[in-house]
Amino acid sequence: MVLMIVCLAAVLIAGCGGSGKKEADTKTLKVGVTNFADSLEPTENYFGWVVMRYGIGESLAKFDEKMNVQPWLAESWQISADHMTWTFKIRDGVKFSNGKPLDAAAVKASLERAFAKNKRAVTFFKYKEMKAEGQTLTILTEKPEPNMPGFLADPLFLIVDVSAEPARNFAKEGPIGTGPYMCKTFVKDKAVMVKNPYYWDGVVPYETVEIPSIDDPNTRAMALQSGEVDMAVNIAAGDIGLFNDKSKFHVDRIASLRTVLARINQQGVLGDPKVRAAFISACDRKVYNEVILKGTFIEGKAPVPPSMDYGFDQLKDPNSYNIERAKQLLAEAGWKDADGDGILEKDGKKLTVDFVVYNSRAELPIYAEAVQSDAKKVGFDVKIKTVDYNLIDKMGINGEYGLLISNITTANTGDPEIFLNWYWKTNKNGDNPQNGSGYSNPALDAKFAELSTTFDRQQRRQLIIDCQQLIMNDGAALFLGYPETNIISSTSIEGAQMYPSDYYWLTNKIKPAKK
Amino acid sequence: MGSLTKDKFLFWLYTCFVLLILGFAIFAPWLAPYDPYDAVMRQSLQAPSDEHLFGTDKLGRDCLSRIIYGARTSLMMTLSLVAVITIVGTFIGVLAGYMGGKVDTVLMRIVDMMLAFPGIVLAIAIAGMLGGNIVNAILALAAVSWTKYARLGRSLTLKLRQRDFIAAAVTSGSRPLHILWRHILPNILPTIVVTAAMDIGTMIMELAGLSFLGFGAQPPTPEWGLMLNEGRQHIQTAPWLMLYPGAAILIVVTIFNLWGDSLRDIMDPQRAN
Amino acid sequence: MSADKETILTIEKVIKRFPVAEGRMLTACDNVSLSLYQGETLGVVGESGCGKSTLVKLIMQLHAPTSGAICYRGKDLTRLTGERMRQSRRHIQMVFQDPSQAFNPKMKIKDILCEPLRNFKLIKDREAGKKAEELLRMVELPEEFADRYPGNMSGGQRQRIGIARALALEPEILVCDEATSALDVSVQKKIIELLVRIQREKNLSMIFICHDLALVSQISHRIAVMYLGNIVEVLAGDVLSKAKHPYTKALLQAVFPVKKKEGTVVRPLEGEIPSPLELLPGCPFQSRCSESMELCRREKPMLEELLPGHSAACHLLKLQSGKKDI
Repeated sequence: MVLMIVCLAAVLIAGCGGSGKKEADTKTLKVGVTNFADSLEPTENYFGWVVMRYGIGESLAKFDEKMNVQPWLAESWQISADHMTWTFKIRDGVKFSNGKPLDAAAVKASLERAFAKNKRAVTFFKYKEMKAEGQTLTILTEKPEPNMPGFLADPLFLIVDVSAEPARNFAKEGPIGTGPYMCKTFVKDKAVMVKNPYYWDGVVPYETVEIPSIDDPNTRAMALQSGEVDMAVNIAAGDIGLFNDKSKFHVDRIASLRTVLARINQQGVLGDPKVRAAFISACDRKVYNEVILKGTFIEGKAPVPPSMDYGFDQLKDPNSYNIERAKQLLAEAGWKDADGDGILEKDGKKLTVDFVVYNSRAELPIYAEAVQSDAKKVGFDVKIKTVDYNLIDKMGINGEYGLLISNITTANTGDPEIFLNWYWKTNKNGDNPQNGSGYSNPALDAKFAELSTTFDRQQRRQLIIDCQQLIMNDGAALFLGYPETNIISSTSIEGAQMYPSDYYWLTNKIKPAKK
Repeated sequence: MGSLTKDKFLFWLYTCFVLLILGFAIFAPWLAPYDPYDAVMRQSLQAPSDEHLFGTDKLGRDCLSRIIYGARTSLMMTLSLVAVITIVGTFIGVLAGYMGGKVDTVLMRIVDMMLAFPGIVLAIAIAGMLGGNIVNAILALAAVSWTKYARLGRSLTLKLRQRDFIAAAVTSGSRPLHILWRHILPNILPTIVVTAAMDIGTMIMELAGLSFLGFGAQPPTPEWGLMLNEGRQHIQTAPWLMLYPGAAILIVVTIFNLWGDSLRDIMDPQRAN
Repeated sequence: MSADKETILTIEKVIKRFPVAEGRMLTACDNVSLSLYQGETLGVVGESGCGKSTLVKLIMQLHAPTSGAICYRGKDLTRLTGERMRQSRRHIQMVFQDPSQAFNPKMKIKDILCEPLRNFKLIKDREAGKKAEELLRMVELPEEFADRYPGNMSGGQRQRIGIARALALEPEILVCDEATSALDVSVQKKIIELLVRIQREKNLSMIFICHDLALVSQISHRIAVMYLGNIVEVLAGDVLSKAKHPYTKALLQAVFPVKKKEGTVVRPLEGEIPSPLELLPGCPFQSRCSESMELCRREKPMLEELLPGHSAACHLLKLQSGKKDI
């Protein structure tokens, strides 16, 4: 215990100083992140995100600060008149980090590899045929896909040199990509990147980039304060105040595309719509976001965050905060407190809900405990189960929860269509595995079907608003809040910027600051 | 004698402190100014003030009340844990020591096996498999800690077994169970009890440690180790969240350790055993 | 003493060996045979290490013999197990050597005294007090002692408690294992007197183990002398001076300095006590006996009756007894 107090003291002393503006190390950059990837295999799980974030891999297209699709490895593209064929012009002069030139055949091979290795690829689009000629890639889709460039911007489809396998083990050593950096060593806790000598898009400023994974948000903040890292991604709301000194730190915070929500299992006690509605109405989301999270999150209401223009203000939440209504709904549903212990019962069963939570984002346990506390006031017994992040996806797919918290990016293809489909389209025989909650609404499914073939922007927007209203009316999920996202960097470097699309962390624009 | 009086004085002094702590635990509902579970979220993370002497936590709950109720949680967990390992461990040890032969060999091999496991790691594994809650944390720590009492019980029994009065009990027709209950147990009990008393401080720490790691008490239970973990996120912006639970653990563990030591000193002034 | 006395306990060819380190065996009792008659006191003497403590443990069934039998009224006790063995304990009780070790420090006197009776369910709990007082009276202790703890008493008082406890079950045989050795000389005398009185009153058969030859001769009807796990001589207690075995004679020399007859030379014991781990064949006393012969090194002498009531294990004596002028 004495040791503990000593550590406490040491930490306070260390934390209170900050390190002052240090001389920029021009050769090595250190970036503090949280990394969930066990390997650098871009097609496994969501590990492609890490491959892209670490500056190894690039896609045919990318998203700018306004979430507009911009050319990247593809210089331009066009769609055929019948909307079934997309033609991409692959940029000239791009080389992989092993010196091999990038052509349409290499792109085709890489895309085919992604489709072969990960079932999630077909949930974006299905193709009949892909043709490669020189620098021209043609994709014939099975049905009209309006958002193809957006799809291809997803890190699942980043372009790797397939011919480098099996000599190079992509999972352990990192794939051969076109990005500014390439992998020297990788373990989950630390990656070391080195400069890609063949990079096509400008100077690569650093010889080496060290990327330690510091999962605990406060430790990450402390690492940045002490100068152990030069920049850090996603500093927790409570710690942002520590970096107010503009002479030492540069804070880039933006509204993100993310939603923090709790998926609700439609089997079990929350299968009753009244009980669901009661639960959501019991949560004072305004206080959670404005007070507890100090305004760094926006109060939750609809599935799609207000940072995108999909009718956030017009949408009506039938389950806004109303304790009396919550209690009444539960009474109507037949729940009573027979034994006076504050928890409701019905037919001998207690109103108990398992809330599955993970810790690697600071706000998630805070939301969970606040929800637990509020829900108790109307008679729910919420039990918080903390699990490792790696288990969340599987538990979500298998429906092993009463509530499951997630911080999800909603517009990974520039458009919330895929996000909405993934979690709320009916899961028929496993064709939509992400929807493990058992939620099913035929009216919503019809809207999704229509959306998938609508090209007109205005029509798409209205359909998405309609989908959201249906989801909210059903109380299909508890939308807790919308985070900001940030990158904070020491003033010894410049160019660190956070994008709404969470894919671009390490770019070649980050370089030592001019003195 | 001079030293005897000093030992006795210290024992009674520390006993008073222990009783004080027990008083906090028992009379928590009357002493705590607020309900430890009452989350007034608008008062989140307030610094210590007249209204909230120890400040509030992230959900606006009063820290002082949570510290006081935390005494209850900590002590209940620890005393049950110590009771379990003392009874189970001593029983097994005495059995092994008295019966000797194969029984002794088998039981002591089991003890050796358990000793080979690093304590807190095994406790984490057990708690990880069975889920984190108070009962599982107690079970997990009991699984690794009973061995000490088994070895102690066995060695005390072995020494005692050589004594003439045990032979006298045998020759006058006593059954083995009678000998264990009437002759062995009463004579080893003082040492066992002192050892258990000295362990209380350590066990408070271990249980708080498990809760700190997430394998013991779960939110929203007021428990000092758990409160330390919750306070970690705000260590720079709201240091009172860690300071008071940390101080509570430090003070209570120290008092129990000193008390246990003083108990040992008055029962065995020569420190021969 | 006389042949019409009933034999109450026989020890028949009892051998007890213990395994010690490195696979060797320690022979504590080597072919011991003894008889105990009803109503007599049999003294067993010898120096420390002669095996008398082991013999006691065998008699009390605290150890099992490696071979041989111990028969109480004809029934071999060593063959009994479980409950029947426990029941057989009622007949043979023991008084221990060290009164400071013989009692559970946490038990009151009355519980100590009544424990044997409770073990066999002979009294009810509420009768314990009265019974304890009765036993205390028997050993000439005040009745108030019943509520005391043994720690608060003198050595002599405690030893009386030990005797009372041993007599609680009204056994036929009382084994006193160095029962006076830990007491002051003045107290010893009183305890001996007590034992003698009780024996007469109850017609007890006693085995009295002691290393003090003088003491033993005062109390015993017969005496058995042990050396290195063997009985070397058995004779009547009042004719100790007529002991014939070289070892017994040497022991006597130490206790009773004998007036030298003219011309006789009494040599003190020479040589070392051999280790009981390495028993040489032949007589155990050979290395220290001034009269040892070739035969003594080859063959172990058996205990043979030289005169009525007097046996010894010695080749020389056996030869000599064949001649008439001893």
